[in-house]
Amino acid sequence: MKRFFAVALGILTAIGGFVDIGDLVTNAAVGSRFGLSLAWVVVIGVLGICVFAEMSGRVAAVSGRATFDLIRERLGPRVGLAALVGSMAVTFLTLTAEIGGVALALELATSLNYLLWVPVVGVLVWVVLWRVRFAVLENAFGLAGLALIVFAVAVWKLAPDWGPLVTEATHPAVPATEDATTYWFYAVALFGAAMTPYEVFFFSSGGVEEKWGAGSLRTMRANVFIGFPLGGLLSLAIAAAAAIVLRPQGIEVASLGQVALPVLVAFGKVGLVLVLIGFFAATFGAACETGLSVGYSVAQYFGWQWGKFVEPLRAARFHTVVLLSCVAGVGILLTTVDPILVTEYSVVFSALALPLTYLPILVVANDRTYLGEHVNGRVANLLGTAYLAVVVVASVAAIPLMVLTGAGQ
Amino acid sequence: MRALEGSLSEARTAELAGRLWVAGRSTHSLAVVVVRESDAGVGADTTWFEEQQPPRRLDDVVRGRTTDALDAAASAVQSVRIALDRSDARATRAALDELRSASSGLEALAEELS
Repeated sequence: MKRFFAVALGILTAIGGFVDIGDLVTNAAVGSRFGLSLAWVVVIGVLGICVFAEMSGRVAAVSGRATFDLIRERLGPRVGLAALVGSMAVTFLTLTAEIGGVALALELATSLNYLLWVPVVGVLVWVVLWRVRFAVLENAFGLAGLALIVFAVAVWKLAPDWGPLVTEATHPAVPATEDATTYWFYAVALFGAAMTPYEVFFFSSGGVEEKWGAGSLRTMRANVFIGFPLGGLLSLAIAAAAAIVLRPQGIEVASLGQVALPVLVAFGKVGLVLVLIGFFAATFGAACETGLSVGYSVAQYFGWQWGKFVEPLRAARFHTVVLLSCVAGVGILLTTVDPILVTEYSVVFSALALPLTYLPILVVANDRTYLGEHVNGRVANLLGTAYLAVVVVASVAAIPLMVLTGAGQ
Repeated sequence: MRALEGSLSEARTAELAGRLWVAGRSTHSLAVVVVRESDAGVGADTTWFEEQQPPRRLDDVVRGRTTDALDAAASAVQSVRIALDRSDARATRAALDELRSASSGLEALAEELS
């Protein structure tokens, strides 16, 4: 029974913790402009993150060491440094976007300008990362993030004409009102949002924090293969809600407030309360995860003591990196740069950095020195290699598409 | 087209947020924030359009009509924002009607030019 609850809790937190500011904004923006014609990208992205999260989780569970720790050892300091710089830059940008997202959610709840909330959120994130236990942090925000299920219920409540929606999702094509370049730009952005590098670093480092062993593999796989796809369904629900309510009115999503509007149409103030809880939990939880991920990757690369499983004083350099990241993220937002713009750039640059993250994981997951009998099988290697090809294409296309479309304008 | 479509999106957003508040389906805080952002968005679109150089003299007529439509939308969104800031439901309803008319003007012009 205890094992069942552990698995159920893991799945629920995986669902609730799957969506972050990048998923919220990108899916709603895509739904409002392209309907469900890009749903296939979410499906491909979610399967991809499952493949690599399972690999990195398996590495953590079997070797007892986190991804970056092994990347440097297995691939050497130079390749490790390239992976570190690429992934850390994107993760830091994502942390900045998440802090901005929390501030925007608080602005929607209070109407106080988000810039007043930014320093408060920065301090709160740091205090939570400093004081709160890892399991509490992961479970509390993951479970609260389940409030976003209101988007899925709203889609049902809005009673759309399912035929065109299903046809659009199953027969993807560039809508007549958009051009192909913009369509592919958003495909890459959506892919980047689904396969954000920090998710695998956080997942594998979290495995070490929670002292996974080979016996934890089943639970880990249940979290990945059930929790992540259900989280992906939440992403699709956000896109569908925008497609049903906003697209017919010609509303193109460019702010977090617009993302919430379909739920208000369906449920009024009750829906709004759930949406705001969901926004707060999803962005605050992701801010904590990205803040920790920056600290994890730097500390693991340099071989410093890291993690929340030791007292903060024993992992002083790790906590200093986390603190400096929060301060820098707040500093960037206080320049008055639009947090939604930061989010849009973070998902595109995420796509750019994907090969730097996923190639080393594939290499390490094939090394018997670390994984013994749990090394990648044929299916994992086939999927991993296929995804690596997709990831490289997305990475190469990201910047040219961004320039050609004026970042999707 | 870019300015027209952008402004139409902002105007419709403000209209939806305003109507949800008037109908008691949204909080005042959310409506104020969303409409404030729409107001800023329409303003930015209008400014961007005014900075563009018409390619030919013949385009001056289109430019004039577009500027009028954008100004009408910007003014209507401002009216909604001001009424909302005062929590004045009656004035918000009146401003929303003005906004609907301005949005229709934007939409008609966008369709004509596309």
